[in-house]
Amino acid sequence: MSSKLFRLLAFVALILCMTVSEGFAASQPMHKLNYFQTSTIQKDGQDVLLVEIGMNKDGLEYDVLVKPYMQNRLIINLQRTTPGKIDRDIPLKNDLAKRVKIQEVETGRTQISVDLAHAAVEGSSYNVYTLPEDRKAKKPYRLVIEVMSPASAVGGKVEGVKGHAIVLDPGHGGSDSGAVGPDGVTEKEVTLAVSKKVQALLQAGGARVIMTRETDRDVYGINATDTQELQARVNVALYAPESELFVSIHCNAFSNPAAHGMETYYYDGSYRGQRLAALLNEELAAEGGLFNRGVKTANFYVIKHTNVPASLIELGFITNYQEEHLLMDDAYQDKLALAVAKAIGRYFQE
Amino acid sequence: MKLKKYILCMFALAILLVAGGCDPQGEKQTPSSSSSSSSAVSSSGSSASSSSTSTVAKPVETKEMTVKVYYPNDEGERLVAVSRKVKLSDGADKYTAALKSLMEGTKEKGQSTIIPRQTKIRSVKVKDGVATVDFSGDILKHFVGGSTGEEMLVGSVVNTLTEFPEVTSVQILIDGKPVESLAGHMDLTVPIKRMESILPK
Repeated sequence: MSSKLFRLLAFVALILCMTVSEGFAASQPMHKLNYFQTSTIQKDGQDVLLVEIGMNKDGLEYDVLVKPYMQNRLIINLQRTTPGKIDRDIPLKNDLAKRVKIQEVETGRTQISVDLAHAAVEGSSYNVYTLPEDRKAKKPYRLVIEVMSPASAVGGKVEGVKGHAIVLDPGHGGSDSGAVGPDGVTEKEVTLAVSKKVQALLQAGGARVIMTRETDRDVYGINATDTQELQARVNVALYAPESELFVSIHCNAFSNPAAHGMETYYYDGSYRGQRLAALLNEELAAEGGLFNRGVKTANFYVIKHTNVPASLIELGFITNYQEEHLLMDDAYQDKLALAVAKAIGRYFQE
Repeated sequence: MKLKKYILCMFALAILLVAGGCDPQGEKQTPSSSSSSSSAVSSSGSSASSSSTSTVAKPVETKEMTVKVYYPNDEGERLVAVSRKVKLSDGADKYTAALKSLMEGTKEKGQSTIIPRQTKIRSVKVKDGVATVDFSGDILKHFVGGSTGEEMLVGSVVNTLTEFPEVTSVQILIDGKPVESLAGHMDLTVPIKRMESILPK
């Protein structure tokens, strides 16, 4: 009898607790924006725009997103924040970003949107972080948005791509990790990292880039058949009628860890595919410096079924210990990305 | 009832003979990994026995033949042809025998094993020039992947089977179902013709 009563009491107590804590959270004081400053600094010899948005207290929760149909707009959602008394629409006079808008999209949620001059690619054209209060500089706790020219992040300029539309296909992704190296490096992470760098370089050169995926995901969906998944990538090019080239980026694997080197593929009979594969091979050999396994033909789905000139490139062997480590190296990825972007530029120019 | 028992006995005998006939015969270059392919043996054995039920009294004949199997080189750039002697029990088919020999792997210098050791052959059928090979799902589960891995695996199977003049292309099934790709590169939805581009020039 008493145990029943005890249980009832415990239940009531639990409900009370939940209500109180919820009420407490809601009544927690909001972050209030009270500081806005932009400045341009030099970082590694390149201009970097700093947008600093200060507030009354620390512990800000935020998320950053870029919508696929509006790639130049960086959106930052600030939780439990009200805009305070700062300006809501700030035009910027500079080459990196055009304007900053601040609005309370619903009670207690404030959205900052920054219109960049280039596509927003994290680590390449922007970074977002918070900094603690700086009493000396008279700066409060603040959110910092760093904006830089994407080409400068990778280092290098690409000619000849302006006005062209290119589909980049980072191999594998999501439920399919692709090949895995002895130290656990996955093909899908390398292909995405390199593809994003290529994307940044091409966009900085004035090209329109269509990515089959921009995050670690399946393009068709999980539990898809191989054909569904591969056709979904081909469809990205098919449904973007302006697309002119298709480049699928992969890392190679073999049962013998001795296998090493880079190679590029085209579908037999495609003259322009062959030309693209040859240029990619030449640039990758020059920049990457790995053993060159050559320009080859193969019965690969994505290069067979695309309706535009296509090449599948194998950056190196993830199953080879040395190359696995190279492929994960940020600076080496920069070189590979530059090689790919340069080759694409040459394809349109020569 | 008695007849049933008798047939069962013949079954067991046929299996023993086929299994026994294959094992000790493995030449020097084949490592002993035949235990993993034992189910393939029994499946081909049972088909052998079912066809031999009519000639029940005769002892099972074994004949020897030479087949060519293909292994990738160490770099995975091309396939290397290797001659193997295989013993065929009466009724056992040469396609399964050649594939089984291929799947025993290699330890020779300059050759690599690409088909995962755990893989079993469920069946091999040849019709109208197309060899349909059904592998167990282990072929995917233990596969290293990669464009090169996939080309070499498919190439070694296709080129080993197209050594038989009546076979012009190969369709790969896994666990009885058609496969579209092994590692997400090759288009395997249509039967694959002999892969000349990865043979030595």
